[in-house]
Amino acid sequence: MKVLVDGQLIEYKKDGAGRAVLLLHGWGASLGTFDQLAAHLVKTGHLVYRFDFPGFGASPVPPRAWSVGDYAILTAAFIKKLKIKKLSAIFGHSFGGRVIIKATATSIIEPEKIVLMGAAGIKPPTTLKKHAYIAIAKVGKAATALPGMGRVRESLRGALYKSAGSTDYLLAGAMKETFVKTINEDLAGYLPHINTPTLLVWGEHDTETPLADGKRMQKELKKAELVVLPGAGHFVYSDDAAGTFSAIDRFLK
Amino acid sequence: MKKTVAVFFGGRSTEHDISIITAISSVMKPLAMANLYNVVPVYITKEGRWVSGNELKDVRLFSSGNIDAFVKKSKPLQVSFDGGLTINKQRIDVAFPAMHGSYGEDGSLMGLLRMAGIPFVGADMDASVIAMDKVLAKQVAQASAIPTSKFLFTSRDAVTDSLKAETKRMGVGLKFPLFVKPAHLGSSIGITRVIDADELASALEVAAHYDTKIIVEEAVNNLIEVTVPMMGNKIIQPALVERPLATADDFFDFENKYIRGGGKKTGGKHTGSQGYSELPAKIPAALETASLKVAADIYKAFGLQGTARVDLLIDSKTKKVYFNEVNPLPGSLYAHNWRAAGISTVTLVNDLIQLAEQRHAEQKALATSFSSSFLRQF
Repeated sequence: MKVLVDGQLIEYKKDGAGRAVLLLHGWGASLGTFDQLAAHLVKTGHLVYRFDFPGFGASPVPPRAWSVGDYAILTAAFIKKLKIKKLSAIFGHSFGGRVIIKATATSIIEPEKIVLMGAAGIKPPTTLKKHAYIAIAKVGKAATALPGMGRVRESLRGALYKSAGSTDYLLAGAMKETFVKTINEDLAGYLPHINTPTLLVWGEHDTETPLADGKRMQKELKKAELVVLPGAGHFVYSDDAAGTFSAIDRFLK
Repeated sequence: MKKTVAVFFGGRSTEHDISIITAISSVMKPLAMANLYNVVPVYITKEGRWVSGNELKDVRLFSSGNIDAFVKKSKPLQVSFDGGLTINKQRIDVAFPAMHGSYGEDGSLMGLLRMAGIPFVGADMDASVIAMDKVLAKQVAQASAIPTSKFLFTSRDAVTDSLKAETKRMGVGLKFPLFVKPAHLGSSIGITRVIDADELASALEVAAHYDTKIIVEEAVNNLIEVTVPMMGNKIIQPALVERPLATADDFFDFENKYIRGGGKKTGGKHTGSQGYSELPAKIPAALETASLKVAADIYKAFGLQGTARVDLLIDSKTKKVYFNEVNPLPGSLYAHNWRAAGISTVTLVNDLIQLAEQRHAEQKALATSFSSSFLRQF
């Protein structure tokens, strides 16, 4: 079903009955990614809301490049529009976690509990390898700045980003600028401002948002516990659904 | 000598992409197979730029994303209204609109082709205008004593200025659950099923985001949804009564119709781009007869010609058949249904061209001018 939030069409789903929870998906995903988790939460007595962030799933691309702050404001507006008076918990995976950190640290959303799964928000340190890629990118940009070189630039850029492992950028299409804005924002400084009890669920082998990010979040957040699931990767809620659900059940009791 | 057929597709419509598939797979391919026509593709971009070229007959140009580059390097279309229609120096004998929704199926293109004075396939301008306005269509149906579900309508301005009052008016005048629809869009885009006033208010805003006119209808109880493709000008021929199978989402929406392509659990017959459906519909003979009658009545009441698909809603308990809406240019021409009815897609496009020529000949025979001495007095 669609709803108009601040002039933006948003595709959303509402399932079950009971305590209200909201699920926020990762970059490139959509609300469908949480089918299993939503079903579990419905079974355990929750009214589960989830929506497609603008630019993903069935929600149209925003009219300009958005920042994490814009997504946070939209999330708050969605809660207001759907008349969700009390949010028992808010869940975020990856990019969704980023939005939660910003929104709860600035108190535009005030849930009773937070669940972050493989959450993004900590900017990785610039390694020597990355410095090299940045240098190549700059040289490449200058070398292909001549007229008629546009197509060459795009294919070189694609190869470079692929080799640097930043395939999310390539997937982004019209959302490129939004993606760049998003990853360049380090949210570590926001963490100490969050007073809400937080459960951090991490896959041991997460390569997108490594376990070190989870550990750092646990340290910086005021009330956080970290559950590490052995063998799981970035999509911890599907890699180890049983492990994730039991940690969530215990935390939401 | 081969006739030259211009196929118009794409366009400034939410159904732009579906039109590309209709044009390539259900119109241009069978026209080429018939070996009787030179096909001139005329593609209209989402921004309203018109281009032509044989490359447009290949779906890979679109699926690869190379269409943008093709449009960029293409010269603007050269069109002459020279007592007929000439496109890029090719004299067009017949036009074949393969467009869905606004600026195409809604009578706009038909108006242009009428002005050019050439035969064109499908409904004429007036029938297209009626069919593509859900409010007007229901009003015409009511005036012709054809049953429709109870409805009210509103405008974008009214929704923007007085959402509360409009929601109340609809809530008082109609019985939930309701369907909220943009009046001019096809393919179920922007349609919401609502069960209470809060959902109704929200759905009105969504519909007003898509359209200036919005219809709110009562849902039909014990619903069986069927659709009947029809063909003809004076003599009307139906294909098979088909039953689209809705999913848990309660109605046959855009995603079911075109994106998801149905699911195994529905157990229906796969019908290509139209998702899953029961073909022919397994409904009692009396309901089938009643459906065919309502479909034919609508076709005549609207003055439809060429082809159209009439969508109907049946209350399986009361056995009442309601008119829902008409598609004067159904996606993929509903070729799968015609094939199941024993009419190949090649025969279908051939017949449609003949019907277009018949209508054109009749219109030409009508007196549209007369000699007078009026100007001599000046």
